[in-house]
Amino acid sequence: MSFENKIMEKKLKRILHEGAAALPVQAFFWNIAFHKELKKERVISSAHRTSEYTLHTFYKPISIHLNLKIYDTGI
Amino acid sequence: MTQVFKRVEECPPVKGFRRSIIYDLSRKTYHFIPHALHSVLTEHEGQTIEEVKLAFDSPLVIDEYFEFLLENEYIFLFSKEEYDQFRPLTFNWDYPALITNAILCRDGNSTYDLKEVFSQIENLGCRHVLLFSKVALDFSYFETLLHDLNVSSFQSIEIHTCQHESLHLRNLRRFVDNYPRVRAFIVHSAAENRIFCAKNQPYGIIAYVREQGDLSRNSGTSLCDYFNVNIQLFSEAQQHNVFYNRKLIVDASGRIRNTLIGEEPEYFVGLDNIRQVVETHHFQRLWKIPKDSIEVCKDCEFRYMCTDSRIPIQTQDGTWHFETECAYNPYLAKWKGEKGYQPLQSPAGI
Repeated sequence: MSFENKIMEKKLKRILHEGAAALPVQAFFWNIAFHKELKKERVISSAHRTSEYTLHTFYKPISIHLNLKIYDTGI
Repeated sequence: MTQVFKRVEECPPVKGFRRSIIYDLSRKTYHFIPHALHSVLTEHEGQTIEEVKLAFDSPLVIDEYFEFLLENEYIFLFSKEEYDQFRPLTFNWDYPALITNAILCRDGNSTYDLKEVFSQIENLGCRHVLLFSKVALDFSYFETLLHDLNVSSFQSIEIHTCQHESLHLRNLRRFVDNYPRVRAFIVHSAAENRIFCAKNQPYGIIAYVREQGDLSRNSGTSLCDYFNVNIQLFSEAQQHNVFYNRKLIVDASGRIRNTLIGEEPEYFVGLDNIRQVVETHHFQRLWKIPKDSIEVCKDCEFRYMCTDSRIPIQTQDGTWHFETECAYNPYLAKWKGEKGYQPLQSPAGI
């Protein structure tokens, strides 16, 4: 990987790894070679997020009448 | 080559009265920052570090700021040509459904048809439901219900119910394993407080708690326990009340409501056509009151991550406020119980 691509990897790491599933527009691609890497990481990232969080959890509490954090976990 | 700094659009800085916060929406966390750093991010974006230093008195502090920002990947350094290719991210919020979440209540006198309600709110696009029972219900009741919902499009279901002898751990473990859309099964009035997680998945929580279930009261703990940093909530909070927006409540007697407490208008009766009620302006009256419009909250740095079930009240001059005080005083940046905290109503509170 060329020096420019390494720099680009660093710059886009955040977008690829953390925000790909939710992020609509910010990613942009100058470099075709790097684009391939991007697609691969994006798939991994999306799969991870979907399986654990996105499908089965709501992004905010429905009710706040009971705070489970104050109780000790049993196991 | 001269490099300018670009803030990551998913990390917006938000100014409070006494301090600011960077919301890290993609990593679902936040960092407190001083107002000066907020000013760097909002007023000097697109400049070089040297240019920013010229605008402030203490260049060493600016160096520390940029070290912090780069380390946490809140900013990146780009050439001017690269910088110009970025577009701002807008936080407009919408959701392809009239209702996003619902609370369905049951007690010993409830006669309304729960299946019919589930069917109607599913048609409204609702995908997240909290089922709350004030009375003890047999385990088989929940099994039948979830079995019926197996082919539905609900994504998460929380169940809060009173203790019943059939709701023992072995049954509930099997239950949350079999029905992955059950995100939490909370048993109230239990003999002891215990929390368990489901065996095969990270999201099925089983909890036994001693206290009696009461939806109409807040948990009495700090609202910070209900802070969520994510792009959906942040976007929704820009223009909406995140607790009441697109929420539907069916109380134990089968009346449709938009709040947990308070007097419900007389036409909130009957479950024949939930859509008709939900589409009324009066039902939606709390939906578009963001914290930016509410006194005190508008000065709070947590305003886009806080889920707060208090009902905003409008005064005659058109401003909004809450009748009860929050556990956090944004004018002092102190939580109740913290050293130096003063309630808002005290002379030193503001």
